[in-house]
Amino acid sequence: MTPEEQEAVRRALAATPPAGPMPPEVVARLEATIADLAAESSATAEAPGATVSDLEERRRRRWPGVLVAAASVAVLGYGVGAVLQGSGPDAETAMSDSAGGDSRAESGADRSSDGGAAPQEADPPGAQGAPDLLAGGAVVELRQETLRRDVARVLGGGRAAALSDEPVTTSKRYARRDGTCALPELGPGDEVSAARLDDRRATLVLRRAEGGTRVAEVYWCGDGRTLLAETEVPARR
Amino acid sequence: MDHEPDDRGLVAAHLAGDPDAFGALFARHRDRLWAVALRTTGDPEEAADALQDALVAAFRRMESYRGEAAVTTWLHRIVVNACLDRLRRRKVRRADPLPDDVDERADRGSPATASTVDPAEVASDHERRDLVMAALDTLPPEQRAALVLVDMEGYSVEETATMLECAPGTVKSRCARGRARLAPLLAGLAPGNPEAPPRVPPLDAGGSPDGEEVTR
Repeated sequence: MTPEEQEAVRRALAATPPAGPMPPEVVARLEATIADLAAESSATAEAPGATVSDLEERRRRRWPGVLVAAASVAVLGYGVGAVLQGSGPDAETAMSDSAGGDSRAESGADRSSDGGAAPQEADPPGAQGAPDLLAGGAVVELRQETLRRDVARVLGGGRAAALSDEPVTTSKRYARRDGTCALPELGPGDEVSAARLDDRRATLVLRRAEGGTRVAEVYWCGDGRTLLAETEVPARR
Repeated sequence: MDHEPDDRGLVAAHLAGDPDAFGALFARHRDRLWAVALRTTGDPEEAADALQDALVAAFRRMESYRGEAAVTTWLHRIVVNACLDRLRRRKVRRADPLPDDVDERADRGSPATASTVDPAEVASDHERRDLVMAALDTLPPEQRAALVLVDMEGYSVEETATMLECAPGTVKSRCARGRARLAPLLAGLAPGNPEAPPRVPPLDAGGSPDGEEVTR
C-alpha cells in the first residue's frame, strides 16, 4: 500500500462525523455507578480502625451467633418472619467469609493499571445494626433483558427471604457477601434478596402476592430507593 | 475565584476520600471516553458496558496510578482495555459457528455492508458513520483500537502506545495493517475521491496474517 493510499484512509477515518456527547441515559447509568461505588467506599471508611485482621478476629468470636442466625433461617424457612431486630454489631458481615468472595472473572479493565498489584479489598464491615440475614445468602444475578425469567427463577428456587413481618421503613444497610447495601422499604409478606442487576449491586424485592401475581422491584444498592427495574411474575412457587 | 483542581488533584482528592472527586474526573473526560468506547466497540450498549467496567476498575484501582502518564491517558488505557476485552469475547462468540457456515458468511459479507454502497447514497453523517463502523468491525480488535485512537481521535502514536501498553512501532504497524484492510472499504469516503464506491468486504474468517506485528 502506498503512503498516499494510507493517507487517504487516514483522512477518511478522520473525517468520520464525531461520536457526539455521551447519551443522557448512559451518563445517568454511569453516574449512578459512581455514586454506588462512593457509597460502598464510604461504608468501608465508616468503620474506624477496622482492618482485615480485626474483622477476622471479630468473626471468629461471633461464630456461635452466626450459627444461631443461620439456624433460624433454616428452621423457619424463607418467607417466615426472621426479623431484623437483634442484628447488632456482633452479627455484622456474618458468614461473608464462608460465602466466598465475588466470583466474577477479573476483567481486562480490572487488570489494567499503571503498574503495581491491585490492592486487596477488605469486606465492608457493615453499618451498626445492619441486618445480617442476607450475608450468607446467594447474590442472585439478574439482567434487564431477561429480568422476568430471572425473577421467576429466584422465586421458584425460594431464594428470596422475608426479613420482617413488620414494615421496614428505615434506611438500614444490610450486610451481604460482597459488601453492604441500603435496604429498600419492605412491607409484610415482601421478600428480599441480595442481587446484581447487569453486574451492578442491587436488591431484589418481591412484593407480596396480589391477584395471583407478584411485583418484583430491583433497587439500587446505594440508597435502596432508586428503582432500577421492575417486572411482574406469577405468584406460584 | 474558584480554581478547579486539575486531574492529578482530583486523583489525590479521591484517594484522600473525597466522594465527589471521581465523579468530577469522569465528568471532565466522559465525552472523549465515550467516543473511544463507542468507536472501539461499535455498539452503544457494549460501549456503555465497557465504560462501566472501566469506571469500576478505575475507581477501585486508583492507588495503582503512579503518575507516570497523564491521568486521561491512564483512564483511556483502562477504557480501551475494557473495550478490547469485550471485542475479544465477541469475536470468540462469533467464531463459534464458523466451521459450519464460514462459506455462507463470507458470501454474505458483513451485515452492515452487505451490498455495494453507492456513494451518492452515503449522504448523511449517520450513514457515513455506519459505513466506517462496519468497516472497522472487520478488523482485529487491536488494529481497530489503534486506528480509533490515532486516526479518529487524534492521539499521537506515543500516547496511543501508552494507552495500548505496547511499543510505538507496534501502533504504527497496527495502523498500517488496518488502513490496508480498510482501503477498499472506505475508498468512496476519502475526501477528494467521491466517485469510487466502497467494496463489499469479505468477512474475516479468522486466521488472517494480521496478528503479526512489527515492534520497533
